[in-house]
Amino acid sequence: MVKVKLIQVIKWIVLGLLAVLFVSPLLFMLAASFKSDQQIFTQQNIAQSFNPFNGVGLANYQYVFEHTPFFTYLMNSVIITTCSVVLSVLVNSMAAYSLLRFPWRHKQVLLLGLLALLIIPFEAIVLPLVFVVTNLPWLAFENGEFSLSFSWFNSLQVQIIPELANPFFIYLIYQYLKNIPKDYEEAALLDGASIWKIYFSIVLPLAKPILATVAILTFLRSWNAYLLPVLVAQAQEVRPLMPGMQQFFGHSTSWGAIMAYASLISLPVLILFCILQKYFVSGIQGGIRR
Amino acid sequence: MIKDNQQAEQLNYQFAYTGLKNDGFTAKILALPSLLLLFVFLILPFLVAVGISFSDKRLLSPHESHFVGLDNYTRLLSVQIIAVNPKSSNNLANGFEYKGNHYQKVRDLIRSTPELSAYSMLYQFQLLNKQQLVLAKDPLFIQSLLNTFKFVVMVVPLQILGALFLALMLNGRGKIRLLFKLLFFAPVVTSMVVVCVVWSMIYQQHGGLLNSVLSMMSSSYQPVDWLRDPAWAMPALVVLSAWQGMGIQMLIILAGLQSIPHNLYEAAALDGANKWAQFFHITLPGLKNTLIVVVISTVIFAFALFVQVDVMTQGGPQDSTSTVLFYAIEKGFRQQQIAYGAAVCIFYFILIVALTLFQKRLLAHGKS
Amino acid sequence: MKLCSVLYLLLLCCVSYASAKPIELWRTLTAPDEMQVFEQQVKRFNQLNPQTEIIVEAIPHGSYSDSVIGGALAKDLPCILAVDQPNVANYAWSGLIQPLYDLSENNLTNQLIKAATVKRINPSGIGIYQNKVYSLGAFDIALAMFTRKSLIHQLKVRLPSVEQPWSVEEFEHILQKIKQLNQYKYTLNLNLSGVGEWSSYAFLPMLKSSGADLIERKNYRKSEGILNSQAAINWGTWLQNTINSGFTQVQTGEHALFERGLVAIDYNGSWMIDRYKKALGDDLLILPTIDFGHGAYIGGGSWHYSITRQCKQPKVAARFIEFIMSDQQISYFSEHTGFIPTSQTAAQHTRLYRPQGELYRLYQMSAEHVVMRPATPGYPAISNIFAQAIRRISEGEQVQTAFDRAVDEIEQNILDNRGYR
Repeated sequence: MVKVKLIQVIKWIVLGLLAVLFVSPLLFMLAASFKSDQQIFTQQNIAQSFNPFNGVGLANYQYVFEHTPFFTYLMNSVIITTCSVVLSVLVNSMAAYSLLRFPWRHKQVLLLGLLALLIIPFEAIVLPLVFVVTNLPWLAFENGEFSLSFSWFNSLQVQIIPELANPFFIYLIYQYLKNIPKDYEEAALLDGASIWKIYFSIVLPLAKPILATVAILTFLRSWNAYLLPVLVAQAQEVRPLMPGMQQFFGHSTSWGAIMAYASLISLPVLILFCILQKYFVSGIQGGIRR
Repeated sequence: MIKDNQQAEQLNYQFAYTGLKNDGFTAKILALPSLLLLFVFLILPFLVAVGISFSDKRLLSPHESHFVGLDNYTRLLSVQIIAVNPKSSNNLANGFEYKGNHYQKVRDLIRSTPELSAYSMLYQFQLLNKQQLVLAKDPLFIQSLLNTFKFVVMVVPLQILGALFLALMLNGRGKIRLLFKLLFFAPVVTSMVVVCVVWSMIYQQHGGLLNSVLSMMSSSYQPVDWLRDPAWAMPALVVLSAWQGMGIQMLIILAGLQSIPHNLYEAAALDGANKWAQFFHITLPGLKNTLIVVVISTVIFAFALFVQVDVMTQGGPQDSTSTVLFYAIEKGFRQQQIAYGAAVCIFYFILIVALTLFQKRLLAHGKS
Repeated sequence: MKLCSVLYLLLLCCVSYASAKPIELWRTLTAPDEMQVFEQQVKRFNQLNPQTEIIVEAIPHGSYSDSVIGGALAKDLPCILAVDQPNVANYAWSGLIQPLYDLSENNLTNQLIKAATVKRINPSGIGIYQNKVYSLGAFDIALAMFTRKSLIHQLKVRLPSVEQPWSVEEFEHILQKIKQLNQYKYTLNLNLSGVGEWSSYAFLPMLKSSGADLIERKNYRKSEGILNSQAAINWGTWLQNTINSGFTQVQTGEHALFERGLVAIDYNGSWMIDRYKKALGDDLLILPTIDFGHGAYIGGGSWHYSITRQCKQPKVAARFIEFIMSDQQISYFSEHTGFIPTSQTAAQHTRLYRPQGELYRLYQMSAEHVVMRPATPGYPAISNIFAQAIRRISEGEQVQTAFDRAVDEIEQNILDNRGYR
């Protein structure tokens, strides 16, 4: 009995050490954001390195707010991420539902084709994608009138729409919906409900867990997007937070300010993650289990 | 046979009710946004990439582009090995002899031999008393390809074994376990760009956190310049990438562990099987499908290494961290040789498809 | 269905930003002081020309060329485009920008810019490709060695002058002495970890001073025997030795080395003068660059303004360029930023660069000892390849191998682009 307990103790100590190791870079980021460069690189003592209170206070944060259009970037990130999440959940679940419940000619081929698309890595098509998105029309509504433009360059939609439809998400939802009995829906159908009504009032509520997974994965991808925005969203008024970080590269900006910016863009996600951890953990586990 | 089964299975999920004619149309409308988006933003760019890769198009240029057939691909993959006789026994420092002529440098040989033009040296080794020179038309691409493989070979085992270990330790319910899961998952929700910037600072030679910790442990420790030492830069990226991604594999494996029926363990315990035997005879076989998914997705993910390189090392030092995708973006966008960059991308695509099929087959084989 | 259309409308509303387009201008995002001065100039111009409005988009330095490529692809370039002078040839060749002034044309009425303006500006303020002026720049920058008067005094060494700069042997002797003093953490800062154009800007003058170059400057097709010449190898070896003997280092991870007295000599651009002066006051000493055997050189050509081919109001855009290129504005800009003015007449009105001025020697240096980067469309590629060679050399690769490789890559690139005809 004592032996078992000892093993347990050792196990938790090892895990504890590992956990410390895992979060220390993030804590270090936070601590460094309150320091000057000199302090970051000369505080050799580890305890000092992680103490946020022996530095320059909020000076780095002040620098970030004064020298970057932080709130514009934040606004853009929020708009892009929100639109992406909502639309991605809708678009992908609609397709999955349609493929599952309705007769499609060559359905087998269609499903296999969808799976095959999974293999095309985003990075492999990003260059021609730039070509494509710079030659698409867009009907914009502004100041009370519609105007037509022929390029999505430097826009918000270019950061939302191209990555909405995702074969992996369609596949995930498709697999999940399989486990939902179709009886309710058929009953509703017989009662004369429209397909849309059934989709919104029966299917979506039942598919909540998997939709949460899709929403979370879309959120992470969208909030953290880097490559495409760097290439096609260069104007400040459409630039999101992540590539906004480029502003610091190559400049002789202090590490402290960079860490302040990094903390500012990571903390909202980490906090959101802590609040919604139930959905993150169970969502991803549940989504992938099937 | 299998196909028929699948079709029959699909019918189970379909609506049997066919009373409303409009529904067929609505169904198409439901799927339309996705199919359209997939076509415009996935299939179309892919076809464009294939098309461009057979041309000599530049991103911005006053010239018309021409069809060049497979030129881009041959240039990418041309490798030759030639054997030369060095003057002094072990190296080429004093010149060498090839086909009766004497050369001082490899470059002299290449420049004066028409069939070797456009080649340059990639690697050399000794075999059969001769110096074997590996020449390539695009040594940096070959190097990037090898680097990518190197990264995959290092990061995949580290990440998966680490994730497996954590999952086994944390399997079960409870507040403390949940807290630990959250801690290990936190890096996953942190953006890769942020992660890279933070680790760049940690990896600094003078005053960086890692070197501070190491020199605290050993007073004779010579600070390593992690990101600027050709021997260490890639391992440095490996550690950071494994750190960032491990949490998600951990969760997937945890999901797999929970789907193993608990009574199997109880039965084994009754039979007197110890923990190790249980692990090898119940846990591992039970995790097989999960692990297949994890391995394949981790490998694909590892092949796509880009952001870390772009933010932290720019492919250096001495090209030791240049990867296929980094090279594609560098060539195709920044150096504006879009046709060549597209060829790299298509090659990369073929590689991933081949690897996935190979892995599936290998793992399926292991199963039977 | 309703929800969908509502969402679509919502999306439409939140993504429509494009407003009426007056005249857009892209430039790099630089230090706050300089940005402020430039914005003042723009404001002034907008006040003087109420019917037009210049709108400034400042893009981070690191992503500027990516932005220009992206903008060109999307046919969404602004009317006025800031261009680093050595890239003018490439932008012109690619068809991004239009000529402002044709030097071979006799009919002067069709030109966007007045002949008098072109005549008044120093060579480093004019971007020329195939005998046409494509860009104009109001300021130049210079390279210099920054150090402390007190240190040179303490070392008891000769003060170099523009006419008689330190020779490389003298310089090495001095580095040795400084190192022995043991007062500075680092001896020399060459900013070897500098990104982007720094390598070419900073080290081409040294290469030239050693008797080498990047490429042959008549047809711009051959680099063999030039970038890998013995002279170049000698310089590369010097660089490597300087690193190996601990006089300089690739990266320190620390900022503001010079201001904080961590490094004795800083090889840097004149854009640092302001900051250094604030930190060091009278102790700041600005010295000419090193003579590697063929005279001391500095790089020439900084950020210019050009007009894109897409511009719908080139005449108005040209008026803005004329405005900032007026002597009054050039000297205004120079006075408030400390940058070197690109016209003699404007220089006379500045505190620092008039003949009695404190930095007149810098102006002289930039007028007489300047090496321009090769004016070929292939320059961006060449610069990139050269920067990589420098990086490899500083990481310890054999100098000959590194430069041979650079030559091969440069010549291959020229071949790939059909000689940039």
